[in-house]
Amino acid sequence: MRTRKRRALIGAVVVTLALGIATWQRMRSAEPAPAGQASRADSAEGEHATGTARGAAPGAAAERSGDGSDAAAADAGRGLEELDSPTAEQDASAGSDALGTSADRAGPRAIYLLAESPGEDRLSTEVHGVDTGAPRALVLWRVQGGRRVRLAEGFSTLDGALQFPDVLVPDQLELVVTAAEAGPEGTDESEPARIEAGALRPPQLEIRRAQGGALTIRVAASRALGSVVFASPAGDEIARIALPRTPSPARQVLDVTLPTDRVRGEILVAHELPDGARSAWRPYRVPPVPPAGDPVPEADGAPGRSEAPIP
Amino acid sequence: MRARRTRRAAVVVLAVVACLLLGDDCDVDRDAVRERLAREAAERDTGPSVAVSPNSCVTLPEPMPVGLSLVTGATDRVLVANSEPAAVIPLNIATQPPSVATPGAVPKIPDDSNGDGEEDETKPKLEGVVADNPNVPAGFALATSTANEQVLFVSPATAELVPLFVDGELRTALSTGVEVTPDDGAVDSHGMDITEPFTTSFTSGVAVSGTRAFVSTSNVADGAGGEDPVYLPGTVLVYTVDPALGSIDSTPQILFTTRYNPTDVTPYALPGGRSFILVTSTGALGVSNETRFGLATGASEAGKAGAIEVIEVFPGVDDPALVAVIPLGETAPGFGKVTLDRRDWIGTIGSLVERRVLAVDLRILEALPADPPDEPLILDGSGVGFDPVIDAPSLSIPAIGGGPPPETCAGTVVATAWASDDRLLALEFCDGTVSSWKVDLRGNPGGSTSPFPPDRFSLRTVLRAVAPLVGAAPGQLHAPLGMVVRPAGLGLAFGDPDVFLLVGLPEGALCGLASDVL
Repeated sequence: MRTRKRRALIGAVVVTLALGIATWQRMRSAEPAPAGQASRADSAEGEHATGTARGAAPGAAAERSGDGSDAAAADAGRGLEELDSPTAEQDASAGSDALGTSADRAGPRAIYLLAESPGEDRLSTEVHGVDTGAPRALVLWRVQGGRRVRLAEGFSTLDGALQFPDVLVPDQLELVVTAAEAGPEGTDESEPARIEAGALRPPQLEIRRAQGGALTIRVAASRALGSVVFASPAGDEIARIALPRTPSPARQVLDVTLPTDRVRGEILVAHELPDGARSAWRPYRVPPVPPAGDPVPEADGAPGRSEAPIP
Repeated sequence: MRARRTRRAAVVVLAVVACLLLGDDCDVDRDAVRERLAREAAERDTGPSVAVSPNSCVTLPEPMPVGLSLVTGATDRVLVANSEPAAVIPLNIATQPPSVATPGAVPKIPDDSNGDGEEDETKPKLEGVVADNPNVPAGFALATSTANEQVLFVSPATAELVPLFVDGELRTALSTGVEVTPDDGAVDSHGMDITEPFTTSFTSGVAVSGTRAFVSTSNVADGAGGEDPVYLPGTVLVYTVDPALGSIDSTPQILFTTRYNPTDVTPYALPGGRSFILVTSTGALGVSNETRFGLATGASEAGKAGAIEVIEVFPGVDDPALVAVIPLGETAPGFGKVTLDRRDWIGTIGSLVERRVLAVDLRILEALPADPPDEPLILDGSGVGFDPVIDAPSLSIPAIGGGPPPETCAGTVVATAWASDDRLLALEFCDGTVSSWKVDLRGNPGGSTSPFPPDRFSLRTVLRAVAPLVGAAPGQLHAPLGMVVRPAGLGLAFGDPDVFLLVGLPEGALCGLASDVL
């Protein structure tokens, strides 16, 4: 009986301690985030709202969301002094940190990252920004499908400038810089910066002829925006599929089924944005319907697959 | 007691039901079955496990890049050719992952690609890039382009075009669209007579030997990229160059190949000093279901035969001549150059229609007569020397589980490379594998009178480097297209990536892999 009482007492103490710790953690997380370090939810929202680094002024961010490369390039040209607070709450000391080193500084060691779309005649772009914890070793990551993939090692110089090799820009690219010692999920990291290649590219298709001759098409579009448009070689629109807006995959992959009676021989595909901008049309060969009685080979549902565009 | 019996009975019934459901697996170890089911469930979500980590890859601007080349004299540099937009991308392979190696941004090929002051009517699409030809002066890479048929002169350091004198004018490209008239009796790959001259097209490969530049053109007449294209006779255009002056004469000598679809040219020299160009001719090739190469369905039987054709480059002013053919039957020897081992004995190339490496003993060329014959000699053992084709069963690559069925992708070896003096690698497109053979080159096996013994090849590893063509999860790398091995040098430690794979889908990528795992 005495043992039971003792167990109950220990249980009560454990529960009380757990509740106390949880309350303290909640209070702590409710405090305003330090400069340059927004919460995860904030970060995810920011990717869509501005499509760019959080280190830029709100006005500039709005400019970029409307028009990609030019505004971003203009930002880059303004120099380091304009890499000011990401939020209105940022204090003056953080602003001066942006231009100095942090050897004798306590508090957050923010990294501000800017990357612009490459120009029309370029395939790569420069990554630049400021590290208030400089000098130190840094790592540049690509955010891909919710995971981070290491892109390059670099460093910040004494004056805080980021030094990385240029990066090649596929359809779109989302970048994060972290301190090398912090690891991919460390606290010393920038907000994501999203950049896009200049020209909108046509989607990639994998065309499959399933049992019974039905056509299923896996579409990989370059941006999570607008529609994929299918047309006949004569230019008649066959179908228009709206792309779902999902958080971050670099390519939008979706499976669609098209009416077989309207698709023969060849099909054209293009990507169209809500503002009417459209990629070039890319032709694909459609696998023929197998003759009656000729069984379609079964393999992972991939008979009659067509992955490469017609050269 | 009763409850326990009931429970036991229920377990037995469930086991029987599971056994029936699992079929053949019923006999095998249950742990193994459980492990397999768990693995299959995981693969449905993430794709099969592969050796190449995404962290070892640099993403390229476009899917399906078309060319990959080492750079002569540089142990840390490769060039990648991007077809459209046309661009050459220099990458540093000493970093992990590889990184852009240009001092500034990577430029696209400009709208005036040949530097004549006028914008191109047709934009070039790159077909490949060569920067590891020892006969090309340092500071130059050569890129082949189709649509606008040219060879472009590119700086491997900056990827900018660089000018040379073409017929005395500074130009950044050499036109390879040339009107040619085949010999009387020439037929296309469907056996139809060719009565009119045609313009060379589908510029595919380039090589330099001495004072000559050799450019192969495939000359596809109709249906390129389909199941049944029509091929006109293949050509190798031979230009005269002056490396000292940096000048080229734009009027080429025309050599017709004996087989259809020449896809590349490789310089080769014998120890005695005789120089050759090896032409890879696939024979008439079609593409079934867009992903499976096959011999063109409508081509004549003769049209389907592939070969390595041999052009001898004579010293002095004598014109090069096609002197021999090494027949390879209906194996469709692949796109790309013949890979040479470090002693220059064995040439290897992949088959585009089978999981198989084709190997030939190039020492046969020592037996060729000094004077060019009237007709190319057929090197199949019936005339001069021995049959140079090394018929080694171990050079067939076994299919590994989870890959596409033969109906979809029957096997395509897209690249071979030597990782060391005695280790041959091959990259296979359908399964996404890298295979490794130990090749015993000790002594002088075979020599100049008999072929290299086939039993000296032993298959060691078949490694799934990237996902197979069918079965890749969304986002998972698949469709490997090219491979190079980084030359040994300072700073390359055990376990560092030294094999670099060019991958096509879902995005273009260059990925590093340590040969220690092979």
